[in-house]
Amino acid sequence: MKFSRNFGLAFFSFFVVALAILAGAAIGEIPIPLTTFIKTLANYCFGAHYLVDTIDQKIIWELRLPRSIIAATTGASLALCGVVLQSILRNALAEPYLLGISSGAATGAVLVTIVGVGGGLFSISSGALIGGLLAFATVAFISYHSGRDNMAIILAGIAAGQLFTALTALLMWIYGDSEVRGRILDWLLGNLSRARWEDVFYAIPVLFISLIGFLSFARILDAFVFGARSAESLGISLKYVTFFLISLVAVITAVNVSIVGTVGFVGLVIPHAARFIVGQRHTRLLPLTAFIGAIFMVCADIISRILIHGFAIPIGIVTALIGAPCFVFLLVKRK
Amino acid sequence: MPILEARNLSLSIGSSQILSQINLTLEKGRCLGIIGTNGSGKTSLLSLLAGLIRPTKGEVIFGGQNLTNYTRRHIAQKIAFVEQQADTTDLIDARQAVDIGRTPYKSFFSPWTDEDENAVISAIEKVDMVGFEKRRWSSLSGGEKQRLHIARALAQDPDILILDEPTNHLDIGHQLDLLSLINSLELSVIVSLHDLNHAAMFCHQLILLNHGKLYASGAAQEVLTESSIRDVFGANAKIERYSDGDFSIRFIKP
Amino acid sequence: MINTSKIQKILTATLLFTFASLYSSASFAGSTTYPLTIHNCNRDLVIPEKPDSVVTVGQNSTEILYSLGLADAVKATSLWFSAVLPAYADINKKIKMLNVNQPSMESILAQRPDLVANDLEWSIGPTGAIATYEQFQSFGIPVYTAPADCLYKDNLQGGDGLRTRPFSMDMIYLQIQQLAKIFDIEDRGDKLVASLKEREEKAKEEVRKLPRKNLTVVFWFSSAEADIDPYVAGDYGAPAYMSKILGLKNIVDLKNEWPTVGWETIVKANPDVIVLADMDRRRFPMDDVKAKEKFLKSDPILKTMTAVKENHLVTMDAQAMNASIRTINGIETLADAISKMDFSK
Repeated sequence: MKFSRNFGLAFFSFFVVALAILAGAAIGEIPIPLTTFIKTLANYCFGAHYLVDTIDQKIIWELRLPRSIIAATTGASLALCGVVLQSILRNALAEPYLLGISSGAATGAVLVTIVGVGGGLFSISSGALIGGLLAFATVAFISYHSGRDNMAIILAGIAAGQLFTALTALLMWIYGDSEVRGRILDWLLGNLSRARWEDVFYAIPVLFISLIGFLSFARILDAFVFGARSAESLGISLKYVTFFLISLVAVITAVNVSIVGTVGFVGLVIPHAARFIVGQRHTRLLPLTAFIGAIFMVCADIISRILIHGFAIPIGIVTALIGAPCFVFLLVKRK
Repeated sequence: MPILEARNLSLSIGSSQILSQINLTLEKGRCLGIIGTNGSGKTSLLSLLAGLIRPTKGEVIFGGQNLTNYTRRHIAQKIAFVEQQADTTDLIDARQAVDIGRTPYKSFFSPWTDEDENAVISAIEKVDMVGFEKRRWSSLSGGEKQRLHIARALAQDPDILILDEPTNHLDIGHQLDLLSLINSLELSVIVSLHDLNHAAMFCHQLILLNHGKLYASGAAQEVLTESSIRDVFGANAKIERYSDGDFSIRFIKP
Repeated sequence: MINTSKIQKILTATLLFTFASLYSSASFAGSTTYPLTIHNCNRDLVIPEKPDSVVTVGQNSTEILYSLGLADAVKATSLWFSAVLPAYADINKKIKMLNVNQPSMESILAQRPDLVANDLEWSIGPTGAIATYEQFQSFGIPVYTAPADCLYKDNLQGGDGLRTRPFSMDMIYLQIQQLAKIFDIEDRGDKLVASLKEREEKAKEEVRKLPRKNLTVVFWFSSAEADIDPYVAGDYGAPAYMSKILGLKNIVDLKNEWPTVGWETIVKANPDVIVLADMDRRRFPMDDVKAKEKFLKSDPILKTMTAVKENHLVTMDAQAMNASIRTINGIETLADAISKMDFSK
């Protein structure tokens, strides 16, 4: 009976997320009537033959719908990464970019575009992905040689982050100028408008892998509550578990940065909000975090497109604007 | 046949020799107390005995085999370790703190069984914390938390319970309660204590460590003598024996 | 007897026909046949028919379309670096601006354009921030990118690569002519190019008349802070082109567009002329051309430079230093200013 209740909950939350995604596809900078939206869906999903303006239809299906889906998957993925890192590293301020990934992504992006590494074989997204993973490899290397405990990982993340930021600055200085730096930083700021169906086709599997992957470690994550030593005494192979989970976090984060750029606050704040509601049991915390993360990002995306008429604000700015006061609220409520 | 045995156990980290040539045995159902000054290597010894760290030399024998041959998970099903200062700021409740004691029996998607449920409930009963399940961890007292730590260890359904200074930061009433509780469990126990009188009261056998070396081992009255106390702890004491076999250590003002 | 009236009729008809066809081809001012295939930025761009609504992404493309008299066809503009050329201020006011920076694809599509005129492959290109060429193509919209951004740059994915060959106004002329062809007004395009070339020649003449030859010059764009290394024009951008055709020597021969060079190096080279960029932007305090002048004249070392002592400073619109149609203005400004300077000392 517990199983059917869980199944019911899962189905319900999936339905709510789907509804939010559709809302995101219906709303945008350019007003498109709801009837057009419904007819478009009918045409594409059910093979209907409604007469709809081609451009409107394509805007909904090719631009807005993938964008909305990516918002949901990114929100869910980043929130999941945040909660896992916070549990393993026993640090309430841990979030996915702690592992130096966004700095590495910037370096990768600059190497590919301005410096021309790869001779045109790599796109800026692949550059960002590889750069992010390289930064994480650096973090793994540094923390391996400096104690391998949580403090080592956090400090290594900070060190690698600084290193790659400096590298980016150096490359910009040698090869670029202030205009170019502005463009790279804009790209990295977090922008969902690049999202297309090709991105959806690997964002969704990545999300599922992360959900299943992290959920299977739910009980193990619970065991970290009293620290690493205690977790070990409960039978957990600390080295393997830490390495595996953190690597998974790094890969998921790097993939997300390469699709969307850096979107702050989601990985930091959403886990706390979820914990506030269901507490620390990871079998409930993980799915709820993913759910809230998805809804949050879709809403942030909608807001980013309607807040200022005709303009789309980069999503990273909106999440920070909403996230910061939310974080303060949670801090105060902690008492 | 002892349930746990240490043979020539040595541990060095970097250039410091933490422990050298430790030999001890734990008999089934008995309580072994580890005493010594701070920094004498008690915690390290306990960690070695619990299989959490590997010795530089020597071995720990459990079930006829070197402990290093067991997987961490298997060890956790047999030996439960209650560390010194385990605490958390996470928003968990008392029940959760005990639930995770079942971790060694759960693998990736295994559901919560009746066996798990029973183990947890009986553990909570044994430490006399029934009714506290929904209480927030942060609202509990030191003594209550310590009981729950032991409950978690009991939920592991171990053969051996290892505790590292479990009575720290507890007031005297609770200290004695806790030690009686430990005694009442039908487990083999290794416990490190800093109060020599408690060690004498509650442990069948004692190990006295001095700078990482075994100073003495045996029954309480053999290990705790006025000269050993002076040698190891640098304190003057008088041992007073009573007719029922008990004795107490009276410390003399320096 | 020969029927002269019939021959007359035939002759007249032939003559009339000849005149008519000559006249008509002249008045159509172009001979573009659609669909038109144009090679642009490493692709074959197909224009199905004469466009009548275009959206621009980039100030240079916008100003070229205005210069070609095509403002009526411009539905919306975007990506501006400064105020529009004064001559087109009134026209521009009536035209919708999607975004002063990079617009979103949706906002471009909402205008239902049949052509997008694009300045940078960074915006629309193989890995464009807005979209790729293919993505616009899937909506049936061709995108024409300024040749200056792709022809003489490394063929990189990413669109912000190094130039491998120096900029030349020929790239702008090509852009003008190709756009004219797309809009079937080749005549107007040729006229515009001719007038621009004439202005170039006039400027060259002015400088040729000067007694001093081989003047050295440096172009100062801005600095992140007052006394740190300035951004100066290198060997590949529009300022380098200006120097080259006017017979001047840019003291900076680095193969970048806007490298940073130490003041020491500049003082050592002691250029005859210093060009100061004038812009509206105030991201750095040194953006202000007056601040630049003040700094040069007050700094104890910099004021010893001949150019500063003799006030051989030229104020130039920063936009002219970009590879655009405004480079012509820059050439004229520079030639004009120099021709009035006395280099006898």
